[in-house]
Order: sequence, then C-alpha cells, then structure tokens
Amino acid sequence: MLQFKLVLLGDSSVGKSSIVHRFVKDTFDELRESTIGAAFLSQSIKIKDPNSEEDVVIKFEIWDTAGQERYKSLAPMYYRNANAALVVYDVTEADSLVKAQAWVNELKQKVGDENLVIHLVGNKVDLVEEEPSKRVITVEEATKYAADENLLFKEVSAKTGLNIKEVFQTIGEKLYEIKQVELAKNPGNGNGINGDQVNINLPRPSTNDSTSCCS
Amino acid sequence: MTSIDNSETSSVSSVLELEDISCPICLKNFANLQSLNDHLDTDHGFDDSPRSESDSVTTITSITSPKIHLSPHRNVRSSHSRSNSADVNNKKQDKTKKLEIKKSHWEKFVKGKTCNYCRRRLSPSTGLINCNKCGKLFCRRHCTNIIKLNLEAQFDPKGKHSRWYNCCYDCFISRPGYNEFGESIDLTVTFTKLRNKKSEDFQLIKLQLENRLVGLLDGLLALFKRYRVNGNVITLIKFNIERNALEQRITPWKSDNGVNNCHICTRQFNILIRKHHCRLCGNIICDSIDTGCSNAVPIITLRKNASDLPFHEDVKPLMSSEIDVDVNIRLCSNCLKAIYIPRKFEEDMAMSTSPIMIRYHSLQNVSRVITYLLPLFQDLLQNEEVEKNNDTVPNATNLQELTRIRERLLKSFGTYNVITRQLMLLTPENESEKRIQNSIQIMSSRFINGKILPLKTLGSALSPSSSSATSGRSSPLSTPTGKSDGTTTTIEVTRLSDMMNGLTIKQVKQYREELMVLKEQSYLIHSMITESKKQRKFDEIKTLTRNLDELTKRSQEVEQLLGDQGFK
Repeated sequence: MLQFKLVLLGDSSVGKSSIVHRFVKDTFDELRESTIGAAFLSQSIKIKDPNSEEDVVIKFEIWDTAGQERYKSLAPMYYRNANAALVVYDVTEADSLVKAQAWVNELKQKVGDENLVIHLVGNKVDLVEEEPSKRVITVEEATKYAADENLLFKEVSAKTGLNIKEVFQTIGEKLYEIKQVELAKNPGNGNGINGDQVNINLPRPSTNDSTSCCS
Repeated sequence: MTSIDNSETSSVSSVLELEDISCPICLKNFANLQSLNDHLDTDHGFDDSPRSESDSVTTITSITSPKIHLSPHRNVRSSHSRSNSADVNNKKQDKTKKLEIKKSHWEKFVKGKTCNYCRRRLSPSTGLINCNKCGKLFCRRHCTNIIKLNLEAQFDPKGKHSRWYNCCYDCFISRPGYNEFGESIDLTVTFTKLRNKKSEDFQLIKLQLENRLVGLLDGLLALFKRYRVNGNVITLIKFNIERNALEQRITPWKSDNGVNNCHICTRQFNILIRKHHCRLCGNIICDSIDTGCSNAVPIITLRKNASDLPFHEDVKPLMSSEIDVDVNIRLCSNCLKAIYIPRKFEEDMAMSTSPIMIRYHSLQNVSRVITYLLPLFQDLLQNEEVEKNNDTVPNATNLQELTRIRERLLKSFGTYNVITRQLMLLTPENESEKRIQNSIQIMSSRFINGKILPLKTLGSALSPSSSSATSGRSSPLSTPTGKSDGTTTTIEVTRLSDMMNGLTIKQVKQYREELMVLKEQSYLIHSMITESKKQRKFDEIKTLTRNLDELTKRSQEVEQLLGDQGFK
C-alpha cells in the first residue's frame, strides 16, 4: 500500500471540508461549521496499474486546513512534504479564485517540488445547475488558468458528489505514475518520492477491523 | 361581530350611560358595559361568535366610511354625539375624553393596506386598529400595548387629561423611560433611611460610652488630685472605695450572679479565668490575653487617643507624681473598638501617605489621562485617514488637535514609565508595603501591555518617519510644536521598542496570534490522537504524533521569539 499526503487549501467557505467528507464518508452537511485549525482524515482508494492491470491500493492522508485568515500561519506546516494539494475555489465567488491562485503561487514558491501534484477544483456547481446566473467563474477561464499553470482541473459538487471520486482517482493515478518514474530513476531507493511514504509489503494484522480480537 | 358593527352599536347605546367602566386588561375607560364588551371582543380578541358571510360583506362596504379611521370607540361615539347636540351632558364627557387631533393623524384604510408591524394584509378578520399615538394602521395582534396619552396624543404619564390608550409596539418601546427590564424604582432613599436608623443606634451607643468615659476619667483625675498629697494606707483604702463608687455610679455594673461565661468569648469562668467588669459598658468579661476580651488601659493613653472629647480635669498631676495606685482602667474590647477604632482610622487617614502611595496616586492619574486620550486619538486618526483617502484638503484644526493629543499621549506614557520606575526604586518600610509595591508593578505592566497593543493600530503616527511627515504637513500651522514633537516621538518609540524585546508591535501581535493558533491546533491533534487510539487506527496516530511534534517545535520557536511578550 502506498501512502500519500494530501492537503486542501482555499478561501474560507468554498467547501474544502465538504469535499473531504463527501470523499471519505460520502456524506454532506448543509450547515457545516467552519473548520478550526486543520482536520485530519484518511481514505484509501484502488487504482489500476496501467502496465500490469493489477489493483493498487493508495492511502491518502488528508489534511483539511481552515480557510480563515487567522489560521493562515498553520498552512505551511501542512503543505510542507505534501505529495498533492487540492486547491479549491467556489464557482459562484469571484474572490475565491483569486485566493486559490494565491495559494497555487505560494505552493510553487515555498514547496519547490516539481513532483507536487496540484489539482484545482471549482466547487458548488450544483448551485449553478439550479440557477446558471449564479456562475461567476466560467469553466473556460479556470481551464485556461489551470493549463497555463500546469494544474489538474475539474469542477465538482460536494453536495451531489459530482466528480469528487474522479478528482481523487486522478490524483492517485498521477501520484502512482510519478512514483513509478521515480522508482525507475533510483531503483535503490524504495522509500518513495520524498522518503515520506512507506511501502509496506508485509501482511499486517487487520487492526482496523472492529471484529478482530487481537488489537 | 366585527369592529365596525360594534362601534356603530356602541355609539348608539353609549348615549345613555355615564358611569365609568374600565377595561380589566388595558385600563381604558368606557362609558358603558356594551362598549367595554365590544372593546374586549375587538381589541383583546375575546370575540367568539361565528363570523357569517354577510358580516364580512357589510364590513367591506363600510370600510370606506370615515368612521373606520377613528378606531377608538369614543371617537366614533363623539362624532355621533356631536350630531346629536341635544345630549349636552354626553358631549361634555366626550370633551374630556377624546383625543384632540386632526383627522390626518389617523392613517386611512384603503383596500390592500398592510399591518405596519407584521405586514399582513389588513381585513376585518385581522382587525383594523389605528395606533392612538402614531395613527398608523395595525392588525389586532399588533396594537395591544397600552400607553398613557394626553389630548394631543403625546406620551404624558402625569398629564391632567392623560388616559390609557392602545398603541403599537414601536410607540410603546420608544416612549421615554422605557427599558427592557420593566419598571425600575429607586430605593436609595429607603435604604439610606434604614441604614441611618442603624447607624443612629450605633452613634447613640457610642455617644453614651464616650460620655461615660469622660465622666470616669474626670472623676478619677479629681480623686487622684484629692488623694495625691497623703500617701498613707488609710487614704489609699479611702481612695479605692471612692474610686469603686465612682466607677459604679457612672456605669451600672452587671450583677455577677448567674453569669458563668465571658460576654465576648463565651468561655466559662473558673479560678484561672476571673470575672471582670468593663468600666464603660458594665458587662462581665474575662481578661484572657489570648482573646483580648478586656485590657487595663492607662488613663494617659485613653486621654491621648481621644483628645477630641471634652475632658475637664488636667492630666498633668498623673504624669508628674509617683502614684502607687492603679492608674489603669479596665475596658472590654467592644468598647475600645467603638470609641478608639474610628479615631484611629481618622488619624491614619489624616496622616501623610507613604511615598509609595503618593506615587501610586499620580500613576492612577496618568493612567486615567491615557485611557481618556487613547480612544480620542484613535478616532481623530481614523478621520484623518479617511480624509487622506478621499484626497480632501486636511482640516487644519483637526491636524492641530491630532498633534496636540499625540504629544500629550506620548508624554503621559513617558510619565507613566518614569513614575513606575521611581516606585520600584523605593524601599518599602514594611512587609505590606512590599506587597503593595509588587501589586502595583504587576498592575502597571499589565496596563502598559494592554495599552500598547491598541497603540499598534496607530502605527503610522507612532513610527518616527511618518510622524515627522505628519508634523511636516502641519508645520505651516504649528512649526515650533511640530519639530519638538518629532524628537520626543523618536525617544518614546525607542523606549517602547525596548520593552517589546526588539520586535515591532505588529510582529508581537502576529506572533501572539500564531502562538494561539498553534496551541489550539496542538489541543485538537491531542484529541484526535485519543480518538484514533479508541478506534485502533494506529497508523493515523503515527502521522498525528509527527504533526504534534512539529507543532510543539514551532510554538517553542515562537515563544522564544516573543520572550517577555509571550503568554505566561
């Protein structure tokens, strides 16, 4: 199993926590309270190895940061050593894209790791589907920006669950691909891209299983 | 039954009635039972008769009639009775009652009008009531407050012709003297009276004791004078007898019989704990040293510490001669307290205060000046910023005022600093002074810390560069003050930054904020770790613990940066 550190960044109330909860627990809460500090969640997904067609399990360690200005000083701690960053904006909020772009710039400057996968995500498309006039940021505008900056991009809805799984799937595949390239380059170093992930091949007792007697 | 129909019927029937009947709910007066009944139905919603189709039709047709706007029944009635000029008596009564206002006061009902409070469309079923004060239309439910109005429909609780009228909620709460908590009654006078009565009793007792003391001391001194010359045993015995008689004449002693316990400490008397009489109140007390229930006090001390009392006899003979008799008087601690403690207190108050306290008082004064000036300065500065942003010509007087206040503020901070330092250099005379000194130190550093952070928002004004810019701008108006001002600012700023561990005020605030966030997050991670332990997610614990270490490291760094400015 491969482990990757993923961090969510973006303006406050764009729906970072909602996206994570949709992905991890497949739930949606209309009245979610704003996050304090940074929340930690983890979720595993399966991807197919493009060569061998085998299933590979990837585990995301997700740090869901608070968007409020007050907690800005915490963010560097969480995007440092991250393998992937999910930068979220709200398609009905013009300022949120500006903030997202600022985050992308900060990531590129401070992290300095070309292997960092940055995925731009426009949330709350369900609102736009209900009422197209609410849209402030067009798909074209965001796609162009993402292409310029070499980011992955998708519009999602945490409420309906649209594209949420796909986003994480894409990130997982991309990370796996990078990892394979890395391994091919330095075959001696089996400890992952940043030495941060641990490749555990040993079969482990299923400590996560609540029915297990030995834990 | 609808309001319109009712008012019509009431106006007819009211002609006959003269007796005053008041509503039990709003205390409004009515001419007869019928109108009261109608009032209860319409205004307080007691109407329970089924509403028929035809009823509502009649109301809608009659809506346009002007009577509807005069919602209080008496208005309807008065218009009616005016036409009926035969009944003079009724007209007179009406004159004292009706509001003397123009018709325009009442908001007219047109179809589609809504209640001014709940915005519900008004119809006879919702009720149509004019607020008597503002005249606006309301539905039945939102015109239920009552208010005392005079004939001009103005709030006048004490007016001669004032009566209770229905009004809307807005008029009700906007009347003068309204508060959220209901009526408030000033009971200070009552309490003062009660207290005076208590303290009067106390004063009387004190006066009595003082009179006794004067009599006792004068009498004793007179006795001493008389018996001073002869020093033999017989005169001594005589003296003692006379002394005893004098003491008991002035104060009736309590009988020893049946008294087994000390009056003050309630300990039982025995061979060791002897009975004694207080020479002023006559109570029986012990003379235990531990409890201090009674003491034999030298006459000279008693005289000296109550020198304001009208003693007649001279105390000198007592001081000069070698008298071998007892010159002490036994007093219980209660009497001593009653007579001497207030005197001691006054004496202490009159005494010149210690240097520490003098400095403390001036410190208080300076802090008062600072707390007064700071918000003033902030306001002015804000105004100035706004003007600057708007590119308007800065107001000359405002700028002058700003400069003046800033100067005073900085001077005050400087003085505060100096006084605090002087205070700390003083050597305390005793333990309690030392404690006071320490407390003042804590208080003053808290004060400075609390006031310096707001000063951060004044940033531009305090930093030397921009302050010279400000004074430069105001220089055509106040050249001399402008220059001197710039130099003092620099000195002050260096002094301030000395206290801030080499950080700017802004940095301190930022670091504090960061530290706070870090602590919060550490706490959160802690709880996450416990949660993960419960759920046996051990691989998560590893990640979380690593993060916790990072957080702790960072907060230590920040704490080090902050130094003295951190949280303690």
